[in-house]
Amino acid sequence: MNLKFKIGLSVVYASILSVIALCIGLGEIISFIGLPIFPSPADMIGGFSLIVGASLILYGARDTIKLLYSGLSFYIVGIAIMLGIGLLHITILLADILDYYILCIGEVCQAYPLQIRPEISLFFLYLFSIYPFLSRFKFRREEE
Amino acid sequence: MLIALAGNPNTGKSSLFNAITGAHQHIGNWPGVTVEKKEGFAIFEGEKIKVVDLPGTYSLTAYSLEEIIARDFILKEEPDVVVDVIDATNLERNLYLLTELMELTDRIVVALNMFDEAKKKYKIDVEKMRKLLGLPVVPTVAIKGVGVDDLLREAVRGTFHPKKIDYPEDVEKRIEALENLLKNLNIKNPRWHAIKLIENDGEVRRKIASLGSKNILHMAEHMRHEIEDIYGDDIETLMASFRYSFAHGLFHEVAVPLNVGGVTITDMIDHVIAHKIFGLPIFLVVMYLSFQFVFTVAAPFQDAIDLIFNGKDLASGGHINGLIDLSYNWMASFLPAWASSFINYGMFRGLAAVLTFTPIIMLLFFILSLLEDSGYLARVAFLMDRLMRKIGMEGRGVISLMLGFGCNVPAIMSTRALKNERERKLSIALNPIIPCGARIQVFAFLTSIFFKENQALVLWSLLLLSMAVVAILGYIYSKTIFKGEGEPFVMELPPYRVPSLKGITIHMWEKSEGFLKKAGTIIILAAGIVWLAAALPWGVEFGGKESLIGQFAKFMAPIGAPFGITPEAIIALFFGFFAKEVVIDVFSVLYGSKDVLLAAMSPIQAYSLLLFILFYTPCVATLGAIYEETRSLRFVLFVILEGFTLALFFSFLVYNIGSLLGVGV
Repeated sequence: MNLKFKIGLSVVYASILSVIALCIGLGEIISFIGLPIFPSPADMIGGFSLIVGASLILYGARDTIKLLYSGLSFYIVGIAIMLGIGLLHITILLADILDYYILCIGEVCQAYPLQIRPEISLFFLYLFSIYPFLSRFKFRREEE
Repeated sequence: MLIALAGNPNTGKSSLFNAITGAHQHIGNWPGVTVEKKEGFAIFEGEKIKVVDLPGTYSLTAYSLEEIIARDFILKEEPDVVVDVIDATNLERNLYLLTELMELTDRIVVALNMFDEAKKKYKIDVEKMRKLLGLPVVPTVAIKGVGVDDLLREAVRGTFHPKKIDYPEDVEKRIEALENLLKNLNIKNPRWHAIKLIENDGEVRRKIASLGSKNILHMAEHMRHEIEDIYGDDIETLMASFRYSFAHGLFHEVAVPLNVGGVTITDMIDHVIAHKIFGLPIFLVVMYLSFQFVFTVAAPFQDAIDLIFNGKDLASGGHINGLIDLSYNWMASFLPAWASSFINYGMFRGLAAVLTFTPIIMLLFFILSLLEDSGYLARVAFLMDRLMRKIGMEGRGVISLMLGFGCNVPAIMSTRALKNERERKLSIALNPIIPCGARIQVFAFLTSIFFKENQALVLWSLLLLSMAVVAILGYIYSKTIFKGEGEPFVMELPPYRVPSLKGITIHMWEKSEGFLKKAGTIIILAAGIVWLAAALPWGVEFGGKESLIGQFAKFMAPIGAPFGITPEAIIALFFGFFAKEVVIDVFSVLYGSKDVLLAAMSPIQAYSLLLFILFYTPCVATLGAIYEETRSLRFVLFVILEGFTLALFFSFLVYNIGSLLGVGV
């Protein structure tokens, strides 16, 4: 597989994830407003963050496929935001578990009711789309 | 008149030298070395000019012969003008030498050479560059003789008001301390010598040692190690990166690349983060992620501290005693009950309430230091600068506002650096609207009780509102009471880097230390006073209607009613005038537990209170700083009035519309 094909594949993969992330983001905002269309957490700014990250990836996708820095810039910042959101939710989950057991001191508690946010799944899925960033030295400044 | 031509190698310096001097040249060697020295003469508008072509260098460190020759010539011969010949096609890289020259001499003319070629690569705003540098800037094409007369005209008649290259505060204060010591030695250009001493420049060290000032050398060495510890890198890399920040910032201000994109990671990220459409949403996302991180990670630590101090009531009906209960019982065995209650449920509980928020404070400062040290906050200032320019404020004024997020007092003091009086007053008037660290603590306290599920969202909304109000008020002020133009300023953009944990920890501790000291002094005292006011006269119900505080609350109740603010909250606001953190204490002493407080106010009342705290009068220390900076009681009154007007307006609006719509009642 040549470089352009591999990058194209990564970008198409990230774009599909981003469309999914956009839908999740919209769902989170709609749920926050109180109109849950499909089951998703009610988190307005969390949804907004997903939309911003996904939009950046989609905005830079076309030029990234063409191996242009102008596209890669948006692509890597978008991926960084998605990974940041995912990391945050992993941290929130760990902190919630710790907090749950601290508040359980002296009480009879059941096991922590684990709920995985979609952002955590997206975090692991987005890890497979960083190939264009690793190949950044092969990119050009402008279209020839 | 003596003119020295300086610049990087291959910038067209020799072509410019030839264009100025024609056939009147003399070529020899610099004394004692085999580096070629070119001198020439020219007459321009009746003025006889001697031109010396300095060796081409990339910087002015003491590592190469060329660098030593160039800087020694400028230091010792003191040319009337130094022309920095810049290859405009590689503008950003060439600006580094300019930053070093600006530390060495005030009289510099910038020649943007190869300007015809550069125009194919960037759109360069020469006028803006001139304003930002405070120096004459002349586009030239030396090989064709274009712009040479303009250059000489500027050299002969130009005005020079160069801007200072600022270093980060940790470095700047050390430079200034050394500079003051060097002034006593009667050294020319003490600032440059101070910078070079911190950089461990061998030549300058020898010079200072020869003057018998070993203590200055020891001090410089100590400072150097301190800076290296804070930033986790060697001094040369650090000082170079600070200068590159200036060069990078200046480049972004004056040049728009015609071919977007870049090669370095910094360029790529900047291309997006400073984007007209995406820049602001990205900032909002980063702020949200930061707040969410702070609150969620702090929560288990807060609950643990709360459990240790206050204990808990168990679902089974039992009770776990906290330190306060244990201490009360122990003291009650040898002290009267009222004394034990005063010490434990007054002062100790007040202190514990504030300490519960230590994890939030430390994490907040940790994340702010992380954003600052990584280089992101500088981009935020850059982004805000673009928005604030629309309200007639730019550069340093924006930096002052950003500092307000830490504490309004140093933020207001930092406006001293603003030379433009209008901009200074505008910045001071807007600064109290920026929520300081203390107010953010109060927000954290109240949101953790009333908006546990949406803590970050509520805080984010307050931050957004304060920024919107700053923008709107700034616009109104700049069109009415503070009319005029802003002072141009280069916003420094350091390259992105992974911050050192040590550096972040030092910064975090420096900022949190003040809070902890305050908790141990003013706040514990305030908690004691509130307890006394709630307990006196002796024998009445604690905090009841007959107590001093109860009577005060009764008197104040009608004032707070239209805004949904409870009498107890008014008392808290009153004490908040002395230090905002005291608001937390007052609530803790008056309500005793979070559950009682939760039952005392509806969410819409709590939000109305948050808005009031966001805007109402700044604390007494901030007002003192405003008076110090303006020497005007009228200005202080204006700021108080501004705060109360905003607070009353927003609280009234939100409480009444919310109540009408049945939201959060």
